[in-house]
Amino acid sequence: MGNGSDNIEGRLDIHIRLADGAITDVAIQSSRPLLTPRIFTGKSVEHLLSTLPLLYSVCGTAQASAAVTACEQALGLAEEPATARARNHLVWLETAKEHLWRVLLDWPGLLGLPPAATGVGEVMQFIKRYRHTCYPNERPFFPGITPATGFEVSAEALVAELERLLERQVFGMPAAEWLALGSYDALLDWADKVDAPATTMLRYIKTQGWSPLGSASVAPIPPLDPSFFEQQLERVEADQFIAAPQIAGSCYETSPFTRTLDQPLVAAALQVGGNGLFARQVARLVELAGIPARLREGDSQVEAVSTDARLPAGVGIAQIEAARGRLIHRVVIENELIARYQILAPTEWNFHPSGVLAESLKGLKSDTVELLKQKVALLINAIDPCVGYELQVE
Amino acid sequence: MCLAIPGKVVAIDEAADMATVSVGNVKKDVSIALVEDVGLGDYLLIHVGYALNKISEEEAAITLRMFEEAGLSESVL
Repeated sequence: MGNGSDNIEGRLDIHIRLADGAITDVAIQSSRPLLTPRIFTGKSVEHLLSTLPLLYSVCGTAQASAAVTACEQALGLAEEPATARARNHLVWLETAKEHLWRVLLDWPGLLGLPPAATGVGEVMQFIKRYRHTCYPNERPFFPGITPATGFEVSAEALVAELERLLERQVFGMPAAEWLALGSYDALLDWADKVDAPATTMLRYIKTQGWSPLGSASVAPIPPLDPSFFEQQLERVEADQFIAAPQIAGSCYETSPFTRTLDQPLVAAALQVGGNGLFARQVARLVELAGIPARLREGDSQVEAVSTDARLPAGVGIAQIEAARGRLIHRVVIENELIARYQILAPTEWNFHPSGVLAESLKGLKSDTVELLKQKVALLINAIDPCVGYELQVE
Repeated sequence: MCLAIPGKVVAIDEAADMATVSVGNVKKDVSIALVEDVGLGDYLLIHVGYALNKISEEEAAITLRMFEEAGLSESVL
């Protein structure tokens, strides 16, 4: 994005230094506004939950779900199982929308092809209907508001509709069958036979010999107890942790890729090309293909940890698996008002100055600067910041 | 963190599925391919060149006020 709105959204400035056609140094600077949640200090929970999704509307569902979960914890309110399931469904649908955005809009653009906007528009309209089916009152993310009784039965026809959308726009076959391809050879065979933005991308990577591009040794973020985040975020220096999070001095990755490492197709891609570009693109497709099943199974993985009696009274910490990785919200409520609000987004882990993107870019080689820029753009998009970026080559 | 900006539609190019929106005193061209029934005067949330959804004038005002409160919008408002 250019000019004015960059100042609001912020952006990543990625500076790479070349020597003999290889990247020798990477510097990542973020101007993303990390301290915006401070505007909620002194406000009511109602105000927070009404306005936060407007502010963070790109991943507004995950943000709203994290916010209400953190507030319910702080207020000592239990989350009903049906409520948790409905909220999880809506977060997974937002993840589907984001994955479709990458696959149908971004991937063709990265290869100089026209975007396939129809599928993304369709899923956005679909999500509105699914949300209305779950919550006819349109307030899914408020304490005490429960979904429509038996919403999963009503939503069943919508899940089938999502499956048809994925088959038509992405996989050229039922997503569940695609997931069952099982091997790298079957995946390549599928990519050769089906003509779609997803297969075009995989074929391009394979033809260019870029499957291992950007392999990095940054570990996936482990499950973390809320008490870990409480220790980090209650400190005066918490802003430094939010800007550049590490665990015991090490960087970690949290992304669709780290969430799908145990899936057969991702494991097959890893065996052939390591954790490079090909495996990352496959991981996004694998997670997307699995979303209808999650909606049917009442999956509960989105919310990793919901309650913790060890947190101090009035404190709530939510960990939500959002489209780009784990999203953390922490709230402190005193006298029914918000005394402190903090958000730690997955982009801060993945685009840490020494994080997985920096590791992925170091050592990249190309004969021309243009080709190198294309490789960098593909890797940045695969790791996926939620803001624009500017690349400078020296 | 995934901020999207509210902008008011001041011109529409239906053939290109594009709109010009005003964000404060800045005008931007954005794709409206993802949003149905966009009209002049509508408020849209925009992000990386795309309109994400329509919001009411009141919601747009609330969002812009929050940006101001957060000190994010001096340069455009």
